[in-house]
Amino acid sequence: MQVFFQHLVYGLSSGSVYALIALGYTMVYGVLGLINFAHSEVFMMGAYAGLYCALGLGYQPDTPFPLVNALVVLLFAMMAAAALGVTIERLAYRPVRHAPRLTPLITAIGVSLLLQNLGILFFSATPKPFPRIVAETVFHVGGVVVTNVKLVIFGVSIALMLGLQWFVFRTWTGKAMRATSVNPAAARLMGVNVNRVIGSTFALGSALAAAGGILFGLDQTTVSPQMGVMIGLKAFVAAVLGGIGNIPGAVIGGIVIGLAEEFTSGYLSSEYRDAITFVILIAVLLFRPQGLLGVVRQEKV
Amino acid sequence: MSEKALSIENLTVTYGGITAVKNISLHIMPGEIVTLIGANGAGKSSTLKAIMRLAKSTGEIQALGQSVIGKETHEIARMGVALVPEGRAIFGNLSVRENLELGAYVKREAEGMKKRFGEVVELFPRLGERMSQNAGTLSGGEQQMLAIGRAMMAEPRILLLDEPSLGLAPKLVMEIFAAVRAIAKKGLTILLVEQNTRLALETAQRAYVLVSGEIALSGNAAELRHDPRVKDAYLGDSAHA
Repeated sequence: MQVFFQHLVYGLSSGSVYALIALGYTMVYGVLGLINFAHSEVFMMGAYAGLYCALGLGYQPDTPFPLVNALVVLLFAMMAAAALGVTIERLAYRPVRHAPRLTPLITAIGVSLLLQNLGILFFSATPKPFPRIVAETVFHVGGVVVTNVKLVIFGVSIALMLGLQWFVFRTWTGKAMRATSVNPAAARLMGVNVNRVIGSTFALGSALAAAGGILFGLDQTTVSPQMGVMIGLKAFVAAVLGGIGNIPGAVIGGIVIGLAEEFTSGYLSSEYRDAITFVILIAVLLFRPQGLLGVVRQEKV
Repeated sequence: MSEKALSIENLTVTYGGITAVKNISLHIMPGEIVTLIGANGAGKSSTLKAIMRLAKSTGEIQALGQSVIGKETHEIARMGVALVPEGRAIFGNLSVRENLELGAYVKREAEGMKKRFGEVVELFPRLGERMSQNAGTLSGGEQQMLAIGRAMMAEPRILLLDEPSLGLAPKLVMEIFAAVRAIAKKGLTILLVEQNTRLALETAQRAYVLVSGEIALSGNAAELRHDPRVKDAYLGDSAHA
């Protein structure tokens, strides 16, 4: 039982990071019908933005980093990623928005590769230690090892997701996003500036990915230009599992993937840790292609 | 003589090589209810789409004294022009209330919204009973009511209606048209596109008849109802029918 709870703690914390990233995939798919493959690189860039911000704020290993500075790092990374996301949409996706579906998809893969290589160019391919902006303390709850870092990861993720939920349901921009995702032409008729809504969606999704990047860096202690590849893929599977385009679905998908990974490596073998995600993907595509919470979209003929 | 609410000069609408509307001109005075009638494919919907810049066109279109050419759809909505599109285009996954709220996207101060919510429910009491229901679960008639109610939430000055009777049972059509007349009484300017010619001519003050993208006839709606050419082609009650 102790082992079970141990895996539960780890699974929830990594799952909540997947969920944060999955939200960006699902939101962009919702308004544009595009799988934004560059999203995983926004996650990576967000982590680096956080790293350099922490260094800029005078982070030193083995000296406590003030909480205020940790929050500044988080906010800075989120804003930098939001700007990057908006720029990608403006420069790469908007010109091909009305092209056949394959064109934006290939463009997304191109942007992803470009950002990865820019990462290697500017940050070097060698993984860098991620600043411990939250000093780790370990405590035991009934034999289960819990660190404050895991709690911070889980707590920050939940807070951001609740914030997103509030934004999407309570603000006019959020309502415009939902309207755009259901019917862009009708949203325009309501006076919604669809271009601006798409920009906001990229900004929001990218900011969440950057938060995911910071939390991932805290958890794994290193970051690299290739870190987005596997994590991004898993988060994408999480979005598909939850039902792509569905916001609560992305959260559930992320948590399920995190737990599945943790329990697989705990009870089966850690070699299957990555494989289980793809087993889930294949199972979803075979048995419930619309995802857990997704609805079957009828193509208009 | 007051300013025209809507004026169209030499409008031509082309879709991928096919000319849907050929060089038409028409106008509507403030508070007037004008109908655009004609067979399927005559260019009625294309004209409405051109007004909202959902279709590319040449020629001049002015609404409320401003040219809409070069403007974006959302900017025209902001000017006070609302289109109830063919097929209703309601937000299916959202509740009835959220649909109506989105209608008020361009006019969101709380007081006014509350007042207009009340007016829409008065116009369509059925919507009041279904506020928290998913709009996709509404019947066709209710969806049409929602689409009109949603447009009214923006407090438009010009209302463009595209085939509001399409696919509805006669009783519902009567209900919808009663609401359209009630809206017209408030002084709104209405351009009604309709295939139900008889009903359109009974509702409107003036009419334009489109044939293959061109205006074949226009004039007082009551007179057109008795015009043999209209009776022949659209009302189906001519002598040799």
